[in-house]
This record gives sequence, structure tokens and C-alpha cells, in this order.
Amino acid sequence: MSRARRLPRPLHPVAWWVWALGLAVAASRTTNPLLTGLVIAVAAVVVARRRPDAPWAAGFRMFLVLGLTVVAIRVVLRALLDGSADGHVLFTLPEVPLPEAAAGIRLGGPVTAEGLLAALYDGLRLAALIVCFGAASSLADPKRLLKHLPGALHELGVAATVAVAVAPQVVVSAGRVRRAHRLRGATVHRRHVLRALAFPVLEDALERSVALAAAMDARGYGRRAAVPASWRRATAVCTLAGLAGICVGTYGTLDATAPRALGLPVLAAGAALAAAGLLLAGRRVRRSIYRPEPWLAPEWGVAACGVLAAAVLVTSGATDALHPPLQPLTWPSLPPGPTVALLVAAAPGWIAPPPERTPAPADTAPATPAGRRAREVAAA
Amino acid sequence: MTRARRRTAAAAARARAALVAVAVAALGVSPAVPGLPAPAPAAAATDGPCTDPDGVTVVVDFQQLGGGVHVRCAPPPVTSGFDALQRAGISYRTALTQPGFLCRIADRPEDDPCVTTSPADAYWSYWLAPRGGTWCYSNFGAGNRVPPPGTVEGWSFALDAAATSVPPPSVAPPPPLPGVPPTPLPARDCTTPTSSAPPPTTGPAAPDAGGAGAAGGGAAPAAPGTASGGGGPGPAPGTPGTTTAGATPAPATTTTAPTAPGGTGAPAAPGDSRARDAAAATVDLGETGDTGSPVAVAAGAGLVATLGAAALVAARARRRPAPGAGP
Repeated sequence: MSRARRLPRPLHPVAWWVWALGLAVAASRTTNPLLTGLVIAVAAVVVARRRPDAPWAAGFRMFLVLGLTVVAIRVVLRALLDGSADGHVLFTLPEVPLPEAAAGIRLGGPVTAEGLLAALYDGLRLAALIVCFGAASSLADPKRLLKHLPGALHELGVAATVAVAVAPQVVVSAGRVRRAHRLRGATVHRRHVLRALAFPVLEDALERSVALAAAMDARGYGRRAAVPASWRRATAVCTLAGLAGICVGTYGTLDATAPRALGLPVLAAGAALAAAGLLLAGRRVRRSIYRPEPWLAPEWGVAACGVLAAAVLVTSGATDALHPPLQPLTWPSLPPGPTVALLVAAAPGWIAPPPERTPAPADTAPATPAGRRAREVAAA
Repeated sequence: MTRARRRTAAAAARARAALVAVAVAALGVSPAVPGLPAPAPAAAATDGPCTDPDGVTVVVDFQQLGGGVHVRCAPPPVTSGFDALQRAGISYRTALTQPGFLCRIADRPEDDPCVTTSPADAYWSYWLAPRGGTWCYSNFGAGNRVPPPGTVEGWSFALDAAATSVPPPSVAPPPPLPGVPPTPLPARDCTTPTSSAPPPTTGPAAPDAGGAGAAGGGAAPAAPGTASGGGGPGPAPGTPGTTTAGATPAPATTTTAPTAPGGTGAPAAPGDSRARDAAAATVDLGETGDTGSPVAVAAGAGLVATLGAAALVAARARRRPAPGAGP
């Protein structure tokens, strides 16, 4: 409503991930091609409307192609390896005779409408999952997502950020070394390319790391807040007991013969303990936050849309509407509840604030920090 | 002649329709298939065991599901275990992600969602037998096997059964037709119990052999002999056994009604449940779920197309340079 909401700003990355994960959960609960198709379309609309102009956000088309490839591979393999001969035979491929040991496997032979449709339904579901993750990764800045790691995982986050930054840096230093070679008028022989290029680049990387480490040290990275010994012990106990609980609980839920009490209750208790351990461990790290990201109404709305879609499809159960039967062949139906929930999941395309646009190169307007970083990476 | 040609033309038209349907479905527009006519059985299915020596008898035992025991005949030619069900007029459903796995017969059990394979403690087990023989657990899925003409197929619901005590159908396979030697099963189709010491995997079939009455008992030792000896339907090795079996069952034919072996039946199925099943044997074997309508498909496809178009328009709009931004 307010003007501030409509100002271009990046949405909180966690909100985008919650929305995308909700959509993915919804997609995994159904094989109805109408619903999985709807999931893909919803993700495409939101990405098309709210994708920022950063290079990391350009990959959605690739995810769409990947999803299509998955569908195609599934359908072709099913046509080749269609196990059952019953149903509506569409055409018959030449059959490759297999030895007796491969009983139950058939290569070639009749291809049925049921088999192809089953492959299509299943492939579409997988494609929808892929597209959901593609949507999340092209809507949310991965570096800003790392900022929201819990305090205890702060060091992991720093390591991941540095690691992510390595590849573009190597490209930059390789370019610098080659430019230096050219300026000196030296032509690098193919045989000496390792000595002439790799060592300077490695040296450059090492120097950069030392400089980065010094810079981080100067800014107080790696300092630990004073934490009493009892706290540290409690942290260790919580984390270890929590992890053990999660292991036992996972085993208990997966093994059908294990007692019920060993399943979900232990898993939940373990997760709670581990979370407590993380919270306690987070006290060691004191961070100030540079450019804090607000969690406002649009964030709530976007996250709620995803959660709603997941909740509706999970609570719908495994009905024929969500899993249209193929034997006998039936038309897939369009169950109203899940359909409306998925359509609501397209709302982030409108309720999220518009993304920041990188100004055209000729534009003299000051670039935003995100835009500048994006251009640096693009240049690299 | 003309009728045959007309039939092939109809089949071609059907195939074309199916092809178009799948092509359209692959494009994501509308998975339209149920418009296809189902592969119709050539002749009407009949109740009771086959009287045609080439027909495949199908026995369905609902066990604890409470639908009774049914014996039907699938007229020839039968091309697979599923085809036998279809030709016998018994509706079934396969799991969505495992099309070779049968999960429901006559829409039972209804609590099986039929998405993946049925749980290990509630599924339909698939049994084979020569006529007058004993049940044995199939080595093949129903879609991977061509039942030899004149044999018997059994479907028995296994609820909470351990791997070694899956109950076979609680009626013995019907006896051979008078004067027709029963077709043996190919040796690889199932592990037939050998004489008196059955392998543990076919445990449930063995006690049935002893208890299924004189006709079944007499034929049982002969069946493995013919199966392993000839491999094909050649009657040579098993002739003495099969002829005696063929001779004895004549008076026993009347006792092969679904409730017949009540006293002698398999140990896994208690007698009282069978009595209850017999009382509830009014299940409609042809019962199927709703086949839905293409209207929903059209509506859904329209929705997806609209959203997709909106996404394309939005993507185009952002690729166009903003007004006034260019040099």
C-alpha cells in the first residue's frame, strides 16, 4: 500500500527460498500433470516478473531446459524399456532378445500409451522440482543468503563466500598475467604455458588470500566472544546429543520394524537439541550486520504463499485427483483446492517489491552496490 | 475378409488416435487419452472355470478384503497376465510409477493410493497353476508373462503375510477338462514344488497340494514332471500322470465352486473368513473408478497456457530497453 513498499528493493532471500521450497513440496505431492504444469508456470511467471538483473539470476532458462530434458529422457527410456505389454499399444519397436537372466526386462517391443503417460507424469513432477529450485536460485542472491546463516555456522558461511569468489578471481588474475606477458612482448610457448601462466596465477591467488586474511583480521573476523566454560560444555552436549538423536530418529522412521517411539519423537527431540546447540554456539560469535535486510509485509506474504501451497497439497492426501490413475486410463482432474492454492502461489509476482534494475551502461545514475558487484562479476 | 479388413482399419484408427493423444500430451497441452476405446475382449468372459481348452481361468481371492472368491474364464487369445484379467472382465489398477505392478482389483483395497508399489504387508500376490495342479508363486510380473492357453491364474490378497506364508487363492485350481490333458506351466514361470520336499519359497503351495482333494493331489506330482521334462506342451513324459488326473477329476468338477474346499483349504486362510467372504461375494468385478472428463483437462491446460503466456510477456517486456535509457 505505502509508497515505500513499491520502491525497488531486493526481497529477503530467505522469503524467496521459503516460497520456492513450499512450491517444491507441493509439486512432490502430486503426479497430476495439470498441477505440476501449473507449478512450472507459476514459477516461470514469478521469475519473469521479479528476477533481478544480476548474472547469477540469468540461469532460469537453463533450469527450464534441464526440466524438459528430464521429461524427454524419461519418456524415451520408458518407450525403450516399457516393461508391461498391457494397455493401448501405440506402436511397436523392434525387440532385442535378452538372456533368461534378464527376465522381466524387455528392450524394445510394444510401446503403450499408459507407459508413456506414466513417464510423462513422473518426469513432469521431477521437472517441476528442478524448476522450483531454479526459481529460488534466480530470485535470491546466494551471497546474501549466506549472510543469514545462524551464528554458529558463521565460519562455514565465510568459507563458502570466499570459495564462491575464487573462480572469478582466478579468471581475473589469469587475464592480468597474460596481459602482462603481452605488454612485455613475450610470446608464451605452448610447452611453457604451465610455468608461464599457472605459477603467476597461483602466486597471485596466494597473495590475494593473504591480503584477504589480513583484511578480515583487521575487521575482527575470527574473534571469539568470551563464553564461560559451562556454556561451552552445554553447547557440546546439546550438539552431540542432538546429532545422535537425529541419527536414531531417522533410522526409526525409515525402518518399518523399529518401535514407533524410536521414530518421529526421537527425531524431533534430536532436532530440537541440535537447534539449541546451534543457538548456544552462536553466542561465541558476535556480528554486526552491514546493511541489514528488513523482513516486512511483502516477505511475510511471499513466504506465506509458498507455505499455503505446500500445506494444501500435503493435507489433501494421496487421492485420485492428485494421482490420476492410468489403469484404467482416466482424464486428470483439476481439484479446486490445490489449483487455487497454486494460483495463489503466483501472487509473489505482484506482491513482492520490483527488483532493482541495473541501469543501462550510458546511464550516469549511481549504481547500487549490488549492481556494481554484479557488473564486476559479469566483467570477470 | 471384409470384416477382417474393417477390423484392421479400426485398429489403425485407434492407434492413430492414441498416437495423437500422446503427442499432444507430450507437448503439455492436454493428456487426452481416455477417449480411446479400450482393447475390447473378443468374446464375452464367462463365470466359472473355462470350458474352452484354450481359455485361461482366472481365480481372484479377496481374502480379508471381503469380496469373496471368484473364478472366471478369459477367452483366448490371452497375451499377458493383465490381459487375462481384462478378458475375464475383471477391472484392475496398476501403480502409477510402476505400471507393471497391480495394486487394486475391482477397486480394492481402496486405501492403496496406487502411486508406488503396494506396501509389503498389503498387496495382491500373483499365482500360477496348471489345471488340476497346485498354486505356485509366479516368478514373473503379470505384464511380463504370456499365460499358456488352458492354464490357471490366481490373484490372492496378502495382508500382513510374511514372505514365506503368502496365502495362495483358497480354492484349488479347477480340474482339467475331461479328455483334455492339462497344459503344463513353463519351468521358468514359477518354482513348482518338487515332490514332497518343497523349497521354502513355495511353502504355501505345498500344503495346498496335499489338502486340495483327490483330483488336485493326484495331478500335483505329474505337473512338475511334465514341466521339467518337456518344457513345452508335449505330452510325452507326463502322459501317464496327466491321463490319470484327467480321468479322476470328472466327478470332482462339481466341487470346484468357490466355496468348495472349505474343509481342506490352505492353512493361511482361516475357514471362518472364507465363509464370510462367500456371504459377501457380491462384489462387482468390473467396478472401476470415475474416468473423469476432458473439461477439467481443457481448463487446466488453459490455466497453464495463460500463466505461461504471462511469463513470456513479462520476460519480453524486461528485455526491451526502458524508455529513455538508451544512448
